[in-house]
Order: sequence, then C-alpha cells, then structure tokens
Amino acid sequence: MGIMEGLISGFLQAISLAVFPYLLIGAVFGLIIGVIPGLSGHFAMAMVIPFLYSMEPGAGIAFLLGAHSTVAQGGGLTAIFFSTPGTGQNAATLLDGSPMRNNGLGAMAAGAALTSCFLGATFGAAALALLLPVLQKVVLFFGPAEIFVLAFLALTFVAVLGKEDITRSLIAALLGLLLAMIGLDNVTNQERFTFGLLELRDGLELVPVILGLFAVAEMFELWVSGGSLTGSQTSPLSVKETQSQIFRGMIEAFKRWWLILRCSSIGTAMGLIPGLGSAPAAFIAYGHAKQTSKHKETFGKGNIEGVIGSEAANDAVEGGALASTVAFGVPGSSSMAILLSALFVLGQETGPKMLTQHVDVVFIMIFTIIIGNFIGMVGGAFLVNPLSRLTGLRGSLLVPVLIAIVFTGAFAVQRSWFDIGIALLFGVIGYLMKELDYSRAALLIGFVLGFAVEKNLYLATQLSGPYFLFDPIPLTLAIITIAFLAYNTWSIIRHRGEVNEDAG
Amino acid sequence: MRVGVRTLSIAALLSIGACSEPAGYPNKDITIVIPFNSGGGFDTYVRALAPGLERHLPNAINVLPKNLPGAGGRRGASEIFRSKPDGYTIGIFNMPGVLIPQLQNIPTSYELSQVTWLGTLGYDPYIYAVRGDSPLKSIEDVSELQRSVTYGATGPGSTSYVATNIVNERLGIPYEIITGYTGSSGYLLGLVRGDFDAALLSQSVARSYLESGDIRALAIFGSESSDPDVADADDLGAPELGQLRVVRMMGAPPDLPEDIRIMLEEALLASMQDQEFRVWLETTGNDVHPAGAAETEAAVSEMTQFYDQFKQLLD
Repeated sequence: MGIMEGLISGFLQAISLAVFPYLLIGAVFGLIIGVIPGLSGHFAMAMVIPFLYSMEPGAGIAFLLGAHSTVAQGGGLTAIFFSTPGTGQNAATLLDGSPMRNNGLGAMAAGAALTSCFLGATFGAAALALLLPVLQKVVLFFGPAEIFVLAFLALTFVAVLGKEDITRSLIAALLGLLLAMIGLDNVTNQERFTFGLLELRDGLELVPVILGLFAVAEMFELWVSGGSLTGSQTSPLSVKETQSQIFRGMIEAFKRWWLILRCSSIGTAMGLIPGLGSAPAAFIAYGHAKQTSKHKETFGKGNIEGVIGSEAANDAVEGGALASTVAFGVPGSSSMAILLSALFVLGQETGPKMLTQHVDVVFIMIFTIIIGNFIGMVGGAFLVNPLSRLTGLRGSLLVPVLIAIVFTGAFAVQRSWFDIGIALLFGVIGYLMKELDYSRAALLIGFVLGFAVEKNLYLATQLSGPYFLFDPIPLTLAIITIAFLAYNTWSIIRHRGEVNEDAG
Repeated sequence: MRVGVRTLSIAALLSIGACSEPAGYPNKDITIVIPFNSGGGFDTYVRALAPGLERHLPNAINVLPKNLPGAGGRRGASEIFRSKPDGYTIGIFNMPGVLIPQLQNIPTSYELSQVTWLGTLGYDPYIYAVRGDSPLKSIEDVSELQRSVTYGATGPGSTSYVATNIVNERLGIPYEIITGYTGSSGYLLGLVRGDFDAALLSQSVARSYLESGDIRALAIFGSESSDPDVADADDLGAPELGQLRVVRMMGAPPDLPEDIRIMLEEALLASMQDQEFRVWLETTGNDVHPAGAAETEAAVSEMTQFYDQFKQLLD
C-alpha cells in the first residue's frame, strides 16, 4: 500500500462511523484520567486493553490512542489548578502554571496549555507522517553512542533551569543521577543500593517519584500553611471571566507559534530516541523557552511561555515515540509498550510489515492523535470552570481527598504497596527541597536521564572502545553540547558580574 | 449471657453467608497472577484464555487477570507460591526465567519443585539470528570464523544471556556477549543496526523481521526446523539444546487439593480447544502447545536438570 493511499484510507477510517465514536469515548475518558493525579496515559491504556479482545483493529486503535492522547491535556489542568502534576509529564507545567493561578490567571494558563497540547500533538503526528518513508533509517541512526551524547546534552539543560543558583541545581541533579543507579546493573549483574529488597531490584519507579516530589510535597505544604490553594484570593472568577480568560490563553498560544514549533521539535526528537521519555522532554522544552525568552526573570513566577513550551513538548513526544514503536517494535515510552501489546491483541504486527502492508493503520494512529487532541482541547475547556472552583476549597478538605487519589495512582503502576512508601518518602524530600530552594526539576532530569546516560555509555564503550566519542556523529553532537555548556557558563559568570557591580 | 448472644448471632450470620454461596468449588472469583505488565506474550495469552476458563468451570464466577510485574517474574512467582492453596489464586510462570535465579542460589520465596502444576500453554523457541546481509550462512560459517563471535543480550543472568552462553560453550564457538540492551526488542534493534554479529531471539520477537529479511535465522532451538537452511538442535549434533525455549506454564500454590487441581487442569485444556480462542490464535498468528499437569511437572524437572549441568554459565 502506497503512502498517499494509506493516508486517505487511514483518514476515512478514522472519521468513519465504525471508528469515530470510539475515538470520542476514548478521548473523553483519557481527559478524565489525566485530570486525576497519578493516573497516567499508561493507566488509561491498561484499562482499555480488556475491551480490545472483541474489537475491530481500527476501532480498537482509535479507542486506545484516543484515551492516551488526551491524558496530558487533562494532566495539565491539574498541574495548573492544584499544583499537582496530573501525569508525570505535566510536572514542568506547574512551574509556571500554578503561579499564574495564584495571579488569578488560571483559566488563561489552562486555555494556553490545552491549545499548545493540540498544536504540539499535531506537529508530532505530522512529523511522523513525513518521516514514514525513511522511518527505519531514522530509528537505526541512533546507536548507543549517539543516544549517550544526546542524553548528556539533555542533561546539561539543568544549567539553564537552575541558572539562578547553579550550585543547588547541580546538587539536585547529581542526587537524581545517584537515584538512577538504584537497581540491577545490566552490565555486571550487581544489585546496587537495593538493601536486598526485591522491590528495589528494577530501580525506582518513575511515577511514585514524580508524584512524591511534586504532588505529595504540595499537599504537605498546604497542610503546613493551612488556607486554600488560591491563597489569599478568596472569590473565584465568574463564569464569564473564566471563559474570556480561556480564549485569551488560546490566542496567546497561537501568537507564540514559533515557540510552539521549536518546543514541539524538541518533544518529537526526544520521543524518537527510545529511553529518553516524555517527562524530561517537557523540562528541556521549558528550559529552552526560558533560555530564549525576553523575560527570563519572570519564569517560575507565572510566565505563560513556560506553560506553552512544556505542554507543546508533552504532546509532541507521542508522535516521535510512535516512530520507533511502529518501525521496530521498540517502545519509545512506557505507554508505547502498552500500545505494542494492544496491537498484538488486535492481531497487528509492528515493524517492517506494518510500514509496508498496513500503512493505513499507521495513519489511523496519526489522525487519532490529532483528532483526539482536538476533542481534548474542546472538552478540557469545559472542565476549567468546575476545576477552578474546587481550588477555593480549604486545604483541610482538599488534602485528604487528593492524598488518597495520589497514593492510589502510585499504587496502580505496579500494584505495589512499596511504591506508596516511595511516594511518601519523596514527598518529604520534595517538600524539603521546595522549602530550601533546591530545584526538583533538576533532580528529576538527573533521575530520568541517568539511566540513558549510564546504559548507553556502557554499551558504546563495549561496542567501539573508549574512543567512540571521536566517531563523526557523536563528535558533532559532543561539540554542540560543549558549545552549549560554554555559552551558559559564560552567561552565568557575566550575570554574576552584573549582580556584583550592582551590589558594589 | 451477653457473650452467648453475640456468639449466636455471629454463627447465624456465618451460616447465612455460607448458604448464599453456591456449593462446591469455585464459589468466588479466581485470580490469575501474571508476572509482567499488561503487554507482552504472557499477559495476552492469559487474557485471551480467561473467558474460556470461566465457561469451563462450574458456577458463574469471574477469572480475573492480575498483573504483578517486577524482578523478571520473580515477584509474581512468589505471590502465587505464598497464596492460600484454595484454587482461587493461580498464575503463569515464565520458564526458565524464574528457574535460573533458583539454580544460582539467589534467595527466592518460591520453590518450583513444590508448585502444583496445572498445565502448559506453549513455548517460544529461540532463534539464532544474524543480520540479513551478514556473510555468515550457517552455524558452520560461524564456528570457522577466526575470531570471537559477538552477541547482544540484556544482562547477565537473563534468559537470553544464559542461552547464548550455553549454545556457544556446547558448540565450542569462541564468543563475547555485549550486555546492557533494554529488552529483547532493544538488542534486536542492535542486531539490525549491526552492533554485533548475532543474537538469540525468541521466535515471537523475531518473526516479522525474519519475514522482512532484516535478519536471517541460522538455527532454531526448542523446536524442529522446517527450513533446510535453518539447523535445529539435532542437526547440530546437540539434541539437548532443544531445551532452550521460553515456556509458559500455569501453576498453583503447593498442596492444592487434588479435586480442585483436576478441575482447573481440565478447564485449562478445554479452553485451549475453544473455537473462540482458536480464532484469536489464527487472527493474531500465535500458537499453543497444550500439555497437561503431569507432562508439565516432568518438563519442569527435565528443564531443571538441563540448566543445572550448565550451572557455572548462569551468571
């Protein structure tokens, strides 16, 4: 089947009566799962799988991916209104989303987030479609050496995120790298820092760590400080004001199309490389938005560009992650691993066969992502008003409910009671870090990328010896990394000089 | 007196509870523990089988799959082993994945020789694969190479790593294993990219890449070869290597009452013959090799003996 033929057939199937209703139900379901803290796309898809046994492939794929594609949109709303990432990937959104809410601009942030998600997803899906003819070559291009250097480049973004206090950021990032080492070492088969616990053998699970660092920590703070999430601002916005803010947010997002385009490219590229994942993508995009902004100093205090950048990258990741999943059956993210098994249930084989004989199935996925995110954007806009009203509730009412939901989310990933303990522990760590002004984002980036950096460094040295860095592609990437680091170090030193002059 | 009344009322409640349940096993839902996340072969097979089990067991109860991923299947195996032997918790074991740690004397909270085996769903043979355009055309070519052959695998102690060790030691091929890839699809990608010479892949992972020509099979272990260009264990003069395969076995905690075991075994075998399940196999290109409890038990002890003789290669 040719690509044009596949495109048309995929589109017609996606909007047909046999498929579209499932897409709609899936998208709305995903949105709701996303709003609930801790329940991620991973979870939404796992819940859908049992239904697939009796479904046609097209409908099943639309149902599953529809549910998955809107989760980040719902999660963004939770990040903005409850300072709690609805899913792991939304942790970056709350850096500027929740300050905007405190400034009374929550609905505007929500409008911008929903729209950026939709635009980012469309970009990622379109990129996947354009890459189809060369997809296998693109995926094969990234060997261990290349992934190592790219992961390292991503790691250097810590320097941008924590520019204001580079020492503290480095401490946090190194702590993250250390945490990534917990578990079985694949090369030597040694267990590291597991204390003989079977639960730690596979390393720390990402979701309970993120929930602890951001959600549980927030609950602790609310509990300690009392009052409500909105703080002093007592009267919630009127319905009319909320609506007008949503539209203004949407317009703001469209106005910053160039930023969305750049952050979507970052997201798509990070999705393409297996093992980097979507949580760091949003932080890297956030770092990029901050780096290139004219108003760097307002980041973290409610800059709409921070929300737009991270949310655009969030949903652009999926297009990229689908690429390696479809081309080689190598899942680009944990949810893609579930998609793979769902395709198996539906009797679809990924890999070369899908690209040559079932290209229409790939296009059903592409259109499902785009249409699903559009549904998510419209549906999400209706959720803004009720959610913003909830934030006015007293902390003593809100905290117990949210804590229960968050712990359920931590448990659900692996059905593990141990993970609830992990969430609680990282809640304490996250609270202390927030109070003492250490960057939780830096810790998370170190933690997530630590795996990729270490594993691929091992593989690259085993494959091409200690001088693998001097091969052309890794060398080019390494030079970019060094240049990037040098520029940032220089600007930090210059900035420090300015501050000293001001002081003097 | 008061205590007496309370005891009586509790007794009354209990008897009402007992009366409302249908007589005999099973009278409540049965849980099937799957030691992996939703996804992958183990999960899909169990989920496709569950409706059949419900049909073939007396009384209207549900059969509920429960995913307990972690530690390469050991967490799930422990959970099954430690459950009450009442027939309401059964599970699927990945062999030899959960067997190898036991032979390495890693402390495990299960003992496979005590498990009440119910039956086997089937197995997945190992394919000895090279890249599609590799100059190596047969295992003979490989053994005539004047250097160490390089292989990719996940990590030491993993089933693929152990299988690679056993094949090369048995066939006397000098070799080197590059470890650290994530999952079988990870080193499959490495093989296609040309990171190393060859790899042992399970057939289900390799299938579509063999068809597309991205990789080529030189040998198959754990099943007879139907292709003259692909050698099997017998062709290589090492019939015992036929033991190298991933097997999906169903089991229950030790000391399961015999009548319940028979009921479960029969339901399992019957549901694998169901029209609905057969259609699912057909459309998804999967297959089963059903075996009963006695055969499964024999297979476990045979497999244990096989891996035991290669004990020094396990880690």
